[in-house]
Amino acid sequence: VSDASPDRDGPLPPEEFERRLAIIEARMRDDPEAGEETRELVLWFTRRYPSVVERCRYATRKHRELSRSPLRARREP
Amino acid sequence: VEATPRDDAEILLALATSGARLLLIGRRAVIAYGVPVVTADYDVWIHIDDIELLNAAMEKLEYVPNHPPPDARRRGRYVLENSEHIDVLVARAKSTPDGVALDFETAWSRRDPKPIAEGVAIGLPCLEDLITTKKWGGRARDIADIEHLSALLGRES
Repeated sequence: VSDASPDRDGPLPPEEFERRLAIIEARMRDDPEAGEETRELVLWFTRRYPSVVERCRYATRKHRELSRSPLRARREP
Repeated sequence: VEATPRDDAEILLALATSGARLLLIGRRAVIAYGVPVVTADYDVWIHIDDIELLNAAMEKLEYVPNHPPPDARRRGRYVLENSEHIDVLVARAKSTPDGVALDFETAWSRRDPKPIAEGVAIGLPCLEDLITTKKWGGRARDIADIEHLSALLGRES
């Protein structure tokens, strides 16, 4: 799980959202290695869960585990 | 009445076969593209004329709309409620805070269908349009999702 942030976090102030967005856009534009970690993660995830249904089940299961016991769920692979 | 948890396969199949022109958006779409993030709910964007089709299909899974179709059209969104929520966007178009507009017809015409069962596919916005929709939310988790999606977009180009 690369990001276990809660489902209903509130919006950031617009200027803060734009600031963070600009950082990402600059990184993607200027750093040829940017996004490599995500691409490796996606490769792993799509091999382990080849179908959309399997991926959605994984996300739902992980969400339920995190809702029950956030610390335990984060320790699991 | 206690809500009935539904398997994701049932939900996806009901959405995809509802007959509504429908795009899976939000985190479920990010997950469908292969990014392992977490969510409980579903977000969809449908054609404004197709509310009744979607409601009829989801009623079979005991999902109940929180607003009748005329109100949903006026508000631009509504929720189908069961143990999990399906947030339904029905706006004809929506803009990012910096003024980039995306209309449903355009997003629909550029959709990326993903198979979910034999002969059945669910439509996702193309990666660029999904990034635009993530800018609507304005949350920290949307920034994280945009970063992931941008990495995939970089791989495509």
